[in-house]
Parts: sequence; structure tokens; C-alpha cells
Amino acid sequence: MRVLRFGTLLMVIGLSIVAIAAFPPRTGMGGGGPLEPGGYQGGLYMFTSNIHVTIDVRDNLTISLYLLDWDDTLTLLQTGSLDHTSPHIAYHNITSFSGIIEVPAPGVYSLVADSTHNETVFLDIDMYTILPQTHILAPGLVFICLGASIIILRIMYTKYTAGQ
Amino acid sequence: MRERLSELRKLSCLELTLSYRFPTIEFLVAILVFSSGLGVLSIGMTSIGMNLNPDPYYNATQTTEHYTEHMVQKKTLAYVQALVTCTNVLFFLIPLFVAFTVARPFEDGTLKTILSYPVNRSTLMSVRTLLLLSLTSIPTIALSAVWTSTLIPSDLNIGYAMIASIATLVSILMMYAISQFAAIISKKSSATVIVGMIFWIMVTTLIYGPFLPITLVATLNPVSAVFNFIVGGEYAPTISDLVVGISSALVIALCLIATSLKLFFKAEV
Repeated sequence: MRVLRFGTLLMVIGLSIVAIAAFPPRTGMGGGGPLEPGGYQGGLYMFTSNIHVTIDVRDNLTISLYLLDWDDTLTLLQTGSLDHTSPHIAYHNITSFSGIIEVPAPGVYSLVADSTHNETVFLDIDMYTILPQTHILAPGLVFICLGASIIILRIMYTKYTAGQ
Repeated sequence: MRERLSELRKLSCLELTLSYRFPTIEFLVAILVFSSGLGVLSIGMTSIGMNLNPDPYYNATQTTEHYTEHMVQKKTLAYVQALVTCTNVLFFLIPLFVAFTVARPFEDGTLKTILSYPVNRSTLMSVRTLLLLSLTSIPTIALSAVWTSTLIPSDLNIGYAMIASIATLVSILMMYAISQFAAIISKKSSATVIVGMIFWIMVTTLIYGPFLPITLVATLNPVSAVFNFIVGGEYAPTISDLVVGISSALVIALCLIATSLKLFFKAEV
């Protein structure tokens, strides 16, 4: 009975995690503003799945876009440069962007842009999380499978011992 | 001493079997997993703008500290928000649990049966109190910590997190004390639920805005007061308001529990 309850508990925890993955409290994020020559413009975001990003650069000027994890973000802040970082994503010389950016693991990332122009570039960043949030959904499904396996094995064991 | 511990263990097992049958605990844990996750995500998914201008005057230490402090505050707020969300849900659920575990045994005669055995009334109430408090507060704090540490990588402001955890325990204790008092006075589950619901509505609506003095808000809902304290703003309590509020809530809760125990000793079953 205790094993069955434990299995059910794991399944119920999994279902709750799956529910959060499907119904997050918010999905939209954004940012942008003036990008000074030689500077970086962007934001720090918590991502729990892949994201759809739309970037508009005004006056047909070009920018480069980078996705950095938390450690690389700290390196950028400490050195003021992207030299010692290894961005997960890098798009160079783009005037606009609209597409899905793959996020490797849940956590805090920075999406930053820089420019090679000698004038201030204005950009608008708009993004939303793609549902379901895959990095939350996956552990939820693991919990469900684990709980279901425990329940099925326990029932099979009970039937086997009753048969003997 | 060993006999006393054995009695406590047996009573706990009996209470778990009688009052927390399948799927009560599972339902509670599921709701707390969901609520704490929502709390963490609602704060975690807010963005922090970054604008770096690495000119010759760029102060790397100051800039790094600025953004790391932002992240520490975000992580702390996410943890406290998870506690607030869970506590608000528990304010609704605790009266139901107390109605089921304390008031209902008066109505259906289960208490009479239990007391026909050599069971001390104080031990019985202590077991019920400790079980309910552990089943609600431990998952609340643990799940909030797990969600926060999994999703947000920076450090946590340990001081604020400790105050918030203590405020959560006091909030849960306060709600339990009020519901238990109503259950023992009325001996009816319906009355317990109604009193609990009135208090729930009061603490979740009146605490917002300038309707009540800040210290009273901190007394009625200490964990929300801690959240407001960290966020700051016009109606944010000061640290002295928090200390007074949490202490008052604790004293009120302990007095109510002591009075309930006295009444339970004299109660006719």
C-alpha cells in the first residue's frame, strides 16, 4: 500500500509540473532601446523553453545578436567584452530577426546585441516563451513515468505472489 | 520516555490512517508543487534590462555588482513569492483539514472511540497539531527552495529568506490556531470551515491598500508583509513593523492553541 501511495505521489507531482509547463504565469518578455557605439544592449531573462524572438533595428542599420548563459554574462560584465565568452547563439550583421532561438537548459540567460556602426542604433526586442515549456515538461514526464512504473511493478508483484 | 515516544508514533500512524487517507496528502503536495512553481515563475520570468557601455571609464566591478545584486534580489523575491502563493492556498485548505481532523471526530463519534482507549487528550491534540503543521509547512518551504534553486542560478539573500520562512511558519500556525479554536468551540465542521473562510477572505483582500495599519497587516499575514518589505514602496512595512507583526501573530497563535487545548480537556465528547 505504501509503495502504491509513493508511486501515486510521484505521478501527481509529475502532473503538477506538466500543468505548470503548459500554463505559465506569463510568456511575453521584451526589451530594447538605444545601442551606443561599442556598447551592448539587451536583457537578462529566465528561459524554461525555446523562445520566439522578434528584433527590429531602425534605419536599416545592422547589429549582431548573442545568447549568453549566466557564467558568460558574468564574464561580459567583468571584462566589458565578448572575447572570453562562448555564446550559445550568435547572429552577425542582421537588420531584423524573427525566429525561434533554442535554449539548451533552463536558467538565466542574457540576450545582447552589439553594433559596428559609429552611431547610436535603436532596436526593439520582443519575445515570448514557446509552450509547453519543454525544460519543465521533461522532468514532469520523468516523474509520471517513474510513478507509473512503480505502480505497475507493484501490481504485477502482488498478482505474482498471489498466484503462487 | 520510550513509552511516550511509542504512544506518539502509534497515534501518528492512526491519525495518518484515519484523517489523511489516499489521496489527501497527494492532493496537498500536488497543489503545493503547482503553487510554488507558479510563484517562482511569476517573478523569474520578469526581465532585467542591460545596457553596457565599455568605454575607458567602464567600472567592471561596480557594473557586475549592480547586475548580481539584481539577480540576488530576483531570486529572493521568487522564493518569497512562492511562499506567499503557497500560504494563500494553505489559508484556504487549512480550515478544511482542521474541519476534517478536529471537528468531524466530534460529529461522527470517532473521538469518543479513540478516547475510550488509554490515550491522553493532550497527546492526541499535540499529534494532530504537529502532523498538520509538518504536512503543510515542510513541503511549502522545501518546494519553494527547490524551484528557486533549480531555475535561478545566482545567490540567495539568506537573511530575507530566513525571515520569510519564519513568517510562513507563523502564518500557517496562525491559520491553524484560528481554525482549531473554531473547531473546538463549535464542534462542527461547517462552522470551522466558515470561520476559516472568513479569515481567509480577510487576509487575502484587506491586506492590500491603505485599509489597515501596516503592523496589523503584518500580524494578519506575516509572509505577505515580508514580500512587501523586500519589494518596498508606499505601503511597505519597516523591519520593526515586521518584527512586531510576526511576534504578535506568534503570540496570538500560541494563546489560541493553549486556550483550545484547555477547552478540549473540558469538552464533552
